[in-house]
Amino acid sequence: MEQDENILETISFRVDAGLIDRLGRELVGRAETAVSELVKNSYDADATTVDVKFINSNEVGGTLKIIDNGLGMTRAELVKGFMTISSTDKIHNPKSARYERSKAGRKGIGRFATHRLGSQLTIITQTKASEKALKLSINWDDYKIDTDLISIKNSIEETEKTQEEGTELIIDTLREWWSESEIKRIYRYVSDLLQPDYLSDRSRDLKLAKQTDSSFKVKFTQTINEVERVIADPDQMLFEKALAVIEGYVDATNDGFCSVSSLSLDLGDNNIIPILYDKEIETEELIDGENKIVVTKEPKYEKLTNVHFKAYYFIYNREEYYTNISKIELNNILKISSEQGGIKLYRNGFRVLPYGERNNDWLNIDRRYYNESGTNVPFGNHNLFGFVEIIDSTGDLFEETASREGLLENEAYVELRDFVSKSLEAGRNRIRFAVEKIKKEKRTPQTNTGNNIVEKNTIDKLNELEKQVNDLIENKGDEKNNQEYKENVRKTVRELKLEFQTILDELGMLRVLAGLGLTIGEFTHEVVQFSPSMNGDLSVLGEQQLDITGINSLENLKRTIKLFTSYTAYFNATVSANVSRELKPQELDIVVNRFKDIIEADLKKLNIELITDFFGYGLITVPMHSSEWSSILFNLYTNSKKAIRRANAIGKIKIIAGVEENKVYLEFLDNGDGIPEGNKEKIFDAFFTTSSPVGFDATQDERLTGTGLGLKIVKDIVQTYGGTVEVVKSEKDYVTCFRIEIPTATKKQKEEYGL
Amino acid sequence: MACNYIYIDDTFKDIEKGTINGLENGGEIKIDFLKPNTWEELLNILMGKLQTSNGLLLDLRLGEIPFEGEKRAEYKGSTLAQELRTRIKEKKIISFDFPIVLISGDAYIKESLDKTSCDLFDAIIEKEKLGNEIQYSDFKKQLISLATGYQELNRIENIIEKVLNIGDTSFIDIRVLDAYKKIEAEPKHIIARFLLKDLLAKPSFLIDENFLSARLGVNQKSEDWSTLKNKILEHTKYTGVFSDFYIRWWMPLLEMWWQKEISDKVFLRNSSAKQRVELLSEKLKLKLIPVEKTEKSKSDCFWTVCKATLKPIDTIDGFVIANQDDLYPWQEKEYVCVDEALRPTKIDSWKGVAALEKNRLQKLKELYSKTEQRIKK
Repeated sequence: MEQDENILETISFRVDAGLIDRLGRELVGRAETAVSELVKNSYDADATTVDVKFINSNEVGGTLKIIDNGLGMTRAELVKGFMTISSTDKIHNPKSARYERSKAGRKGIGRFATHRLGSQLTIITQTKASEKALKLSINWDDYKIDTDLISIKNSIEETEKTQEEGTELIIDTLREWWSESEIKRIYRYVSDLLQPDYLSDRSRDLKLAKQTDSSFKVKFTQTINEVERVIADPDQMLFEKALAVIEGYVDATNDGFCSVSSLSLDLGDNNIIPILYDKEIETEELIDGENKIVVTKEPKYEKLTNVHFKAYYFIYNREEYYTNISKIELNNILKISSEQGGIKLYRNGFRVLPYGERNNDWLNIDRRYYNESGTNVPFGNHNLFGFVEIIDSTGDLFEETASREGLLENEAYVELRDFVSKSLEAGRNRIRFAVEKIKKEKRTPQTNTGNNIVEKNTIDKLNELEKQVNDLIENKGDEKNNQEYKENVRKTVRELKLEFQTILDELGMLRVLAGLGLTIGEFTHEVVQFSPSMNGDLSVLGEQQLDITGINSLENLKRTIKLFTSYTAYFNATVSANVSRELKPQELDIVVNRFKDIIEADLKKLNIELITDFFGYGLITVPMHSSEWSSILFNLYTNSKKAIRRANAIGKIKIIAGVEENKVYLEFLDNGDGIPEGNKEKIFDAFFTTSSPVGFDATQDERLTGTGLGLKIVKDIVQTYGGTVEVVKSEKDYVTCFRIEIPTATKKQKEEYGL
Repeated sequence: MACNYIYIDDTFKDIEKGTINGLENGGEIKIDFLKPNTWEELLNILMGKLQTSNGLLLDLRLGEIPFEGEKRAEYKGSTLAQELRTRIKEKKIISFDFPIVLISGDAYIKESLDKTSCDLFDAIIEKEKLGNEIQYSDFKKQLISLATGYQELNRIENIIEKVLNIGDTSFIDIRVLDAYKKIEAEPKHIIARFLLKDLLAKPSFLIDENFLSARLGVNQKSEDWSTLKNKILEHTKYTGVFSDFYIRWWMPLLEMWWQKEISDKVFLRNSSAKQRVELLSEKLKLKLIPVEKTEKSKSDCFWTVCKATLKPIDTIDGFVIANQDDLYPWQEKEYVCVDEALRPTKIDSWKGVAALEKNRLQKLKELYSKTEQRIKK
């Protein structure tokens, strides 16, 4: 071959040995990552046991040995695999040879991991077929800057086999010292490496790794002064004793669901709660010959499929809520909670950092709930031990970042966060409801008189206490009676204390709502001032020569402002009505017709049909406040709208009012998704909600819409006036029917108010 | 020529800008926006500005927001209106009269103002309703009508023929003439108030289009309704002061026309809508259709209009509504139809039936309750 005369010589890149040092330090940031990478390599080599030995590691310069019984490496594998930086073996062979495990290790990280941990490495490896073992020694300190990489030689020699097959890594001159608790931390970390259990059939079919898998055991030992101890972590088993378990999944067709089960709280897992994504989508549709922007909410997730999660929930210092846990066990869990609590994430069977690490609040659990008080359901990362299972073998959905610590925040990741945090919220609401109920039962011991069970209310109890105190004061001398009276007083005070706590909790919530109400009142009063001005400009725009786009846009603007002003006008009127506290008999047909006028625009927007039907005349209630009916009707309406949306039906609502003997009734019907038989009583209790929880970044206002207080408020109002509210069988064509009965005004009351 | 209104409000001009734009749109009205001031200063400014203005728009609460620094107006819109009206009566400084309109941010303003204060204003508008229940185009017409009406009143003498623009008063109720005599020497705003409140606001011998339709029994959707009301009945239309906004027909002239042109045997009051329309169609060769009864009405000898639904009814099918005890003899009582009385749909526009009607309504309710039983589906 003829040489080009112009070329003096050929040159290639040269690699400075300092690169190895830098790669080691920068690719593997943390010591626990380094150890776990090495354990993963053992897993990938089809090992069934791995011994991790920390020898004299309580000081800098100790030794770490990682010994597995995997397949070992042949000479060629050692040279081409281990000694070739950026080898492609893991890409070419994603499954392990013997057990067909999905490989966990990241390509080419292992050798750098050893570098991260200590300055000397010895590898002794042998395969079943080989007669001798291979021993390779590397002194990482040789890899200094200004040295040519290729010039550094590492010795490889043949030695006697130490075991039938497998690899032993000996890392000497450890760069850090390891205390026992640090070793424990790494142990936990390594045990967390594998997903605790399968959550889906698919993970089982794919033979993903899991902790309970007996085919892969990791043992940690610590040797100090030749005394060997096993480091273990027995707490894991305790999770099964959780107060409640929240589980959920997004199925293959992008629908999300979750459920809560708890033996002691009497929550069955048959209560499946749909989790809606509810992303708002704007589309342009032709309605009545006009192009309108229609906003629909999409309940399905867009990208997210086949994701599962499971979380164990604990309330500490409240062993009375549990059926099977001792105080000591609960305290043990509390101890590990700050370290181990949180929701971890497993991708294809292996842990992805930093999710669920200490101080990693990726689901905003602490941020969202930490400052809440008086809810009875503390909800922070340390109350939860959970994990998410993502199976994404092709990496289409989730991608790990280049540094391999975390997932790229793509759409699937955003949806995952949305799904898990909504599910936890839903779970929390269920648990909250159940806990409130337990507290209530505990504080209202029912007095059994014959066959009639009489529930004493707080006032009764206070009266009783007054009587008991008087007994005690007036009783002089008789020691026996005195003792009895004292005991009675103590008992009543105890009961009252519990009761007041619950009342205060509820009061706290109501205070928040009342504060919000005042703000809304103030706000609407301010906002109504703007409507004439907006309308003024609209009327000007209406007379301009606009092109077709302008006209469409103006029409849309007019509609929106009309809707807006009808709401603000209504709230303004309600607030004005609230200024006077006067109660007066309410005429239901008038109340309903007025309500119908107000929601007319909203109904039209949502394409919901509303029919009213009245039976009898003079549907006059006992004196009530007009805003109470607004509250009742709006709460029922909101409920119906949600149910209709969940049912994905063309909405139909019917309001029936009538009079029967000495009571008026109002029935509120809808064709939504209905209320399961088991919930028909519960829905009126505080904090019970079936509504799909809002996203984790929801505002305070949004969160209040799902407080679970709506129907409770309805019930409270109705009961105040001696009425009832219940779910009854609905008419044909409808699914749910709430029926409210209220006594009619007396003749005297009607006359007094000129009715 | 555009009519100029001074608009005094304590809110910021930026917030009111849209309202002003809405009113000024079309160029017929010009708004001079003014913030309150100290009492003396404001009156000073007004005395100057009013010379070239046609009217005044006032907010009631002028002291909510300070007009300067921490200084707030210590008076209300009604105080200011009272002062201006007094100065006009005393012929101080200002020689001509002008309309004063209250635009208030308070809902239910009419209920919260006493009658004397209400009487100071030619119109009272709840600001919140502007652009919603009250269209800007209508409000503009009203403002223009008030301005031109006052100009007309300022120009002419207070003689009733001139004010109502009629040749003779022989067909007018003598009691109206008596009442007018008492105020004839008063300032123009008193004359205006008489017209606006006592003659035009309530049904009387001057009737609006809904009443016209009821009395003739003709459906307003008839093809030739417009021809009938505007051309054939042109001579019965009210053409006096404020007639550009208050479209009214003289009932006495209508009856005379009916007797002369349609029938001197069949009377409007006791004939059915069908009869009336048959006669009208036949005599006038017009395409007209009769009005139908409301569901629970018995008679179709329509005479009045339901205050809530605006549908024609016979008074025997109506319920007199409450608070109508101080009507002038020429004013007619207002009614709601049976359907509305039984099951109100727009209670806010009529507030309940009169005390005398309550028994009758109760009996009717009982009657219907028996016939309408709920059949559970």
